Amino acid sequence: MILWTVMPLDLVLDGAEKMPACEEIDYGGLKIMVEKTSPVECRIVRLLSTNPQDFLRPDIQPGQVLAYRPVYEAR
Amino acid sequence: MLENDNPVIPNPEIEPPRVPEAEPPKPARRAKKNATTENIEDMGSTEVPTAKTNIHVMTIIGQIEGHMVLPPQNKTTKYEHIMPQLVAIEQNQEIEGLLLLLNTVGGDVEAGLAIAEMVASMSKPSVSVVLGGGHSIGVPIATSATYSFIVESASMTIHPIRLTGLVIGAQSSFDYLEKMQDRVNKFVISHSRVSEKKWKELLFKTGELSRDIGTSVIGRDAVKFGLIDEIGGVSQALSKVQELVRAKKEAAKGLKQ
Repeated sequence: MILWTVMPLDLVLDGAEKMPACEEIDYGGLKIMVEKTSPVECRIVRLLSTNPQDFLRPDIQPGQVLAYRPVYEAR
Repeated sequence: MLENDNPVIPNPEIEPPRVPEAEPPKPARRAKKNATTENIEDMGSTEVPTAKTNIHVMTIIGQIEGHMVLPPQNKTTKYEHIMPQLVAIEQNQEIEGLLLLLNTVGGDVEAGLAIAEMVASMSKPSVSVVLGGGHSIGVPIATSATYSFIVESASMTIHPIRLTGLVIGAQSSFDYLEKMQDRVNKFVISHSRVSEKKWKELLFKTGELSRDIGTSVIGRDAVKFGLIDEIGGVSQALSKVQELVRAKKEAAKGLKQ
């Protein structure tokens, strides 16, 4: 990998050793890679979708925080 | 008395429920404000665009993240997300043009080149605007659009690619680096008006940058050297996209006839 940037590399790479782990979740039938920020919240890292139109959806852009909420539904 | 079931004539015994007289509408402070301001006040959100638009805006900011996930203090543009978005834009019938907003400090060479190649190979017209900075790998991305703009205060740092990490000081390392640099050189030269001689001159100039060789090209100079097509900001870029979209439509019409 070659980083070609005007930023000093030690600034860019600082903290690269302790990156949060990613996990895969299901969001409305979509597979999304997220990093957990708390037990009930996670931040989207990337989409694992093959439908290009999914990547234009504003609710699932990377960086978006998703909250986990159990809900009651009619049986 | 029989119950009156005529829906038109009301039953005389039953008084119609009195409707309290409608209060005169308060001189509504709210009414004057549009939905956008209300949104900002109530929700703290600035989701402004409500009108349908035929162009899409893509922002290339911070570091262009490539094969390695960068630590969270970096603002990054994730190429694995940008690329399918470009496919979606190319495929979506309602989107007719693309506006690229650039303010990047560079990043992964291969990720940057991938984005640049994808933008360059799209059939839909694209216009790029360099705001603030379009450094290093930002340069090929800026030139990849059909037409490019730079604001007068923006700068583009042009400097040679460096190897990061452990480098074995052998001839092959040098050759590899030169090959990588050549990929970028070829892309920029073939997608802009800059000559190979001028590009190499900018790349290897000494005494201009304090910690590196290369050049910092600002606004008008970028246009003068042929890297960027024109000086301009958002309004110029938007009208250029629409102009290119119209031109493409007319060309398509001409073919059909």
